[in-house]
Amino acid sequence: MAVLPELGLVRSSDLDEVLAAVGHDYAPYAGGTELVPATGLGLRRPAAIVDLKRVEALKGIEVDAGAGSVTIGAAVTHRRLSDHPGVREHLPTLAAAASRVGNARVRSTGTVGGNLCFAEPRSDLGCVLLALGATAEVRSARGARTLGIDELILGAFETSLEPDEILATVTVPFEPPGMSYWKLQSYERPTLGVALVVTEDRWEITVGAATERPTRIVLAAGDTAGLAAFVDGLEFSDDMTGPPDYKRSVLRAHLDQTLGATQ
Amino acid sequence: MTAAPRRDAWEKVTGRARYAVDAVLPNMAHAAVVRSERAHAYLTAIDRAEAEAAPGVITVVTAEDLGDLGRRFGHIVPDHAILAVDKVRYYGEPVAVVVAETPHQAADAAEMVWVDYDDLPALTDAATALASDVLIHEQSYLEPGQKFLDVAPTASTDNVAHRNELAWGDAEAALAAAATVVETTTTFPLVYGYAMETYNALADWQPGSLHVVSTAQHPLMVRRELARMFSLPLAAVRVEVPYIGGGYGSKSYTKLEPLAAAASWAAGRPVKVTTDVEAAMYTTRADGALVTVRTGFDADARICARDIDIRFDTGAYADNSPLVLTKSINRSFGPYRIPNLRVRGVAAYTNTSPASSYRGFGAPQAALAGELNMDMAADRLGIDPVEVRRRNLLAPGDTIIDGKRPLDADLVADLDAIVSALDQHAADRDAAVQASGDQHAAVDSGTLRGRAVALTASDAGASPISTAQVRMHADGSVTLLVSSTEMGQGSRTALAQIAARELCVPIEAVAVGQSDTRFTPFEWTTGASRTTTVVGLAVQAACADLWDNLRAKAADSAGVTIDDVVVHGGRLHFTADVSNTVSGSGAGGDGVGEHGTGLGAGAADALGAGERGTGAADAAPVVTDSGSGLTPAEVIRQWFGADAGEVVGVGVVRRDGATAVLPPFWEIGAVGVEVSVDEATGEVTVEHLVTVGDVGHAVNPDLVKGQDLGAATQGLGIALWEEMVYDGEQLTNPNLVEYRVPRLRDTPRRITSVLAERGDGAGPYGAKGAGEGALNPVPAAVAAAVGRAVGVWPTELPLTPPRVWSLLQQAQQ
Ligand SMILES: Cc1cc2nc3c(=O)[nH]c(=O)nc-3n(C[C@H](O)[C@H](O)[C@H](O)COP(=O)(O)OP(=O)(O)OC[C@H]3O[C@@H](n4cnc5c(N)ncnc54)[C@H](O)[C@@H]3O)c2cc1C
Repeated sequence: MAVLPELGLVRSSDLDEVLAAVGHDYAPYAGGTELVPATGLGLRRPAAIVDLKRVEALKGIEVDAGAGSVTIGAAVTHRRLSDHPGVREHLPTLAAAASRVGNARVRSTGTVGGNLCFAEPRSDLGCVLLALGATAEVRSARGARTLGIDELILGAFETSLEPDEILATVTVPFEPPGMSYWKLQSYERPTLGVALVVTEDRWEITVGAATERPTRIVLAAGDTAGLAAFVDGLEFSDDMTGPPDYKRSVLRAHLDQTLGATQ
Repeated sequence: MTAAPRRDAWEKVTGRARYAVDAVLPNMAHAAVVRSERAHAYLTAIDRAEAEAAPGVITVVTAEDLGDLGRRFGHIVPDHAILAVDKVRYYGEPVAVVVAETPHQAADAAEMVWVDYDDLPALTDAATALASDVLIHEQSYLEPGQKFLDVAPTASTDNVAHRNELAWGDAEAALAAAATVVETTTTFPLVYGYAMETYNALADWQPGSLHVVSTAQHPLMVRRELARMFSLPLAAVRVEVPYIGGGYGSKSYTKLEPLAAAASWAAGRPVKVTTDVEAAMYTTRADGALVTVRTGFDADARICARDIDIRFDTGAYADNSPLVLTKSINRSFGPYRIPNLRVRGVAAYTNTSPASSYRGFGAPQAALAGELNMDMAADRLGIDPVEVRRRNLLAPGDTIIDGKRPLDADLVADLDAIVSALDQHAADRDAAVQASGDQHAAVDSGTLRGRAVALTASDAGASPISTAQVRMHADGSVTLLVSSTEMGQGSRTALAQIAARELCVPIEAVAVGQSDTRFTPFEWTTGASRTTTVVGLAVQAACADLWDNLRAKAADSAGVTIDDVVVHGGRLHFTADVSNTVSGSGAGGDGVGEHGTGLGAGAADALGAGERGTGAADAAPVVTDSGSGLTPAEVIRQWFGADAGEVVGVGVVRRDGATAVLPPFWEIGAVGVEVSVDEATGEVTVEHLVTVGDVGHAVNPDLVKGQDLGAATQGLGIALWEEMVYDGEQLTNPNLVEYRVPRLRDTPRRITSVLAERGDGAGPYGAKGAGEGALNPVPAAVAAAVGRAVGVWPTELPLTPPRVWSLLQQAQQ
C-alpha cells in the first residue's frame, strides 16, 4: 500500500533558512505532484521535506522590459504562469503550454521548478524553455550559479543540481517571432512535443517528451537534409506512449506539415 | 415513467454519503498487506520478527496462524487462500498481514516482513500456461461428486480453470457446405474495473459473531462464504454495505472480507483493510480473451453455422470466471438465426491478477470477435453490414437458446433507430461542410472516417431470488428495505419510484435503507442488470402484500370481511354497508380524524396516480362505495387505536410467475459509432455515439440514459485506452496515470441516446434491465468503425494511437 511514510517538514518563509535546511535527506518540494507519489512508492526516501512555497523570492514573476526577459520563480504554479498578463504578452507560447499541462489539479499545484528539477522526460516546459533559451539560477547556502536548461537537465530524472542546491528562478528572453509549440498528448503526460522558431533564414527545432531530455537544433531554412539527419539521429524512448518508430513518424509528419510551407 | 431526481445526490455532493471506507468501529486497528514480489514461487520462509517488534504492531498474520479456520474461499472453486499457503501464484498476492494501531505503523512494519521464495516459471499468459507442464494449482479443490455448471471436477493435470461448450446442429458439416466462410480472431485486453472507491473491508470478529462493513456488491453471497469459513450460522454473520463508490462487477463475491476477518480474529480487534489502485488491480480484473469466430453463410448471406473458440486468461484464481466463461459462451454468437452452432470455451489459470466478473460478464470479450466478424462478412459478401444483420436477426418471440426465455425484444426496430441516428449525423455534417465551404473540408484532410453498428443479447438478471419489505408507518409514509446495493446506478431512486407508484404516495414519503444482512431481507446479487427488474418485482409484490394487510386491518376495524374492502385511488373502500361502524375520511376512532389528510388522497393526486399498478386486490369486486374511503394511514391508526403502529408487506421473487423461465430478461446491447482517425498520429476520435436502451419501460429515463452513457464510455475505454500491461512478472502500469481510463474530453463529440419502450419485459410495467447492455457491443463497434476508416481490420484492443498507426502502416503496404 502506498501509504506515505512519516516525514519531517521544514517550513520557513526565509530563503536562507530554507537553503540551510535543504540537503541530502532533506528534499525541497513545492506542489508535491511528483514528490508525493514517488515517496509513496518508495522511489524517493527523504527523511524530511523542505517547503519552498512560503518563500516570496521563489514566487515572483517579473518582466524586465529593458533586458527583454521575464524572470519566473521556481515555486510559480502552471496556473499562475499561464494566467499572468506579462507572461501571456511576452511569452505566449510558454503560457499556452503551461495552460495545457496534465490536468487541472496538476496545473494548480505543480510548479515550474518541480517540473524542471524532477526532470521527467515527458514534459512540455523543458522543451519550450530550452527553445526560448532560458537560463536557470541555482542557489545553495554556498552561493549561486547560472545554467542553461540543457546544463540543468542532463537526462531522464537527472539534473546537475547538488543535493544542497535548489532552482531559484528561470529567466526567459521574450519570445521571438515565428515561434510555435505543438504536442501529442494521448495519455496524461505528453508523448511528443515540438517547439519551432521559424524565420526567413533559420529553423530552430526543439524536440521534447519523446527523448530522454529536450534536444535542440538550429538549421538554415530549407535544409531538409539536415532536418532528416536530425530526426533520424534522435533516440526516442520506448514506453507506453509508443515505440520509437511511431514517435519518429509522428515527428516527421508534423515537421513536413509545418516546415513544408517554408521550403 | 417519471423523472425523479436522484435521492443520493444531495448527500453525495455535500460529502455526507457514508461509504464503506468511512466506517469506523471502537478500538479499530489497521492492516497493511504484505504482497508477493514473485509471480510464481514456493514460499520457503517468512521472517516477521522485526515487524512484530516495530512500534504499534499488534500482530503479524501468515497462513500458518489461521489454524482450523476455513482457509480457502472461492464460491465456485474454493482455490483462493486468505493468505498464500506454501506458494504464491501472482505478483501482488497477499502473503501476510500486519495489524497495527495506525495505518502508518502497519505500512512501515509491512516493509520489515522478509519473505524467501523458491522461484517457479511464471506463466503470465494463457497460451504459455496451457502449453506448460508446470501446474499453477497442483490440486483439485472440489470435493468428489461436487459439480459446478454440470462440469465435474478433474484432477489437476493442466492449467485449465474451467471448460464449457454449447452446440446444436452440426456446425462442422454446415461450414464445409457453406458458400462463404469468414473467420475472425481478436484479442481482448486485460482490463481493470476502475471504481473511485477501491476495495476495502472492516471486520469485527468476536466469539460467536462476525460483523463486516465492506464494498461487497453481493452482501448475502459474502455472508454465506464467511459463515462457512468461520463456522458460524448465517444469522451470526452481519455484512453491512453502505454506498459503494462504483462496482462494475469488480466487487461481486468475496474479496478482502476474509482477510479483514482473519486479521480481526488474530488481533482480537476490529481491523480495517484498504487498497490503493495498485492493490485493487492486483485484487481483481476482467478476463482477457482470445476469441476465434468462423461463420458460414449461404448464397443469400444467411448464416448457416457459427463455430466459436473462446480462451480466457483467468489469472491465478478462478473467482467467478467459470460462470463468466459460461455466460460468454451464451453471449458469443449474437441474436441471430443460427441453425448450426458450436462454441467451446476454456478459462486458463495464469500467474497474473485473478479475473472475475466485470460489467458485461463475458459479452464484450466474445462480441468483439462475433460482431467484427459480421462486418468482415459484409465486406466479403459485398453487402451492407446493416443488411447482413437485418437478414439474420431473430424476431421477438424467437428462441435464442433452447429452453431459455424467448427473445423479448425487437432488434430490427433497434437497428433502424441506430441507423437513422447515424444518418442524421452524417446529414448534419454534410450540411455543415456545405455551409462553411472549403474551410471545413480542409480541417478534414488527414482524417479518415468510419462508422459501424453492433448488437448483443445477454441472458441477464441472474437468479430471480429477491425479497423486499415495505413498512408503512402511521402517517402513511414508507420505509423500503432491500439488500440490493447502491453503487451509483441509482437503484434506491428507481425502487422508491416503484414503491411510491404502487402505494400511491409521493416519492418523498418513501425512505430506502442501506443493505445490511442483519436487517434487510434476502437478495441474490446486485449484478446482471437485474435490480429494477427483479427487485422491482419484489417491491411490487411487497406493496401488494401491504395492501392486503391494510385491507385485512380495515375489515377488522369495521367488522366486515377482507373481501368487503377494495383498493382504489390509493384508498381503501368498503363494498358492504359499514356506515354504523366507520365513516369515510376525517372521522372514525379516537385520535384519528385530524390526521386524515397527511399523505393520503392529496398525495395520490399529486402523483397523478389513481390506478393501482398491480396487486392481489385486483381480484376483489369492483368498488361500489360512494364515499371517499379511508387512507392507509387512517386504517393503521384506527386498527392500533392510536397515532402509532405500522403495517408491513413482504414480497418475494423466485423461479415462478413472471420469472419462471430463465433468464428473467435478455439484455440488449445496440449501438452505433462514427469515428475519425488522424492519419499522422493514429488518434481516434469518437464523433458520434448512438445507444439504444431497449429497456421495455424506463422507470426513470434519466437513470437509464446515465447507465447507457456510462456503460458505453467504459466500452470506449476498452476500445481505445485501457489495458493492464504485464512486462514479465508484474504490471508496468498499476496506476491511473498510465492505466488510462476515459476522461471527459474522450467522450464522444455527439451522443444520441434513444430509449426503446415497448413494454416487452417481465419486470414492473414491462421493464427490462439496463446497465451492462450499452457496454457489450461498443468495443466491437469501435473496432469495426476503425477498421473501415483505416482499411485494415483490427485484431487487438485497445486501439491506442500507436496501434492504429501500425494499422495505417499495414494499409499502405
Ligand atoms: C498526472 C500528471 C500529468 C502531468 N502532465 C504534464 C504535462 O502534460 N506536461 C508537463 O510538462 N508536465 C506534466 N506533468 C508534470 C508536472 O508539470 C509536474 O508534476 C509539476 O510541475 C511538478 O511540480 P511540483 O511543484 O508539484 O513538484 P514537487 O513534486 O514538489 O517536486 C518534484 C521534484 O523536484 C524537486 N524540486 C521541486 N522544486 C524544486 C526546486 N525549486 N529546486 C530543486 N528541486 C526542486 C523535488 O525535490 C522533487 O524531487 C504531469 C504530472 C502529473 C502528475
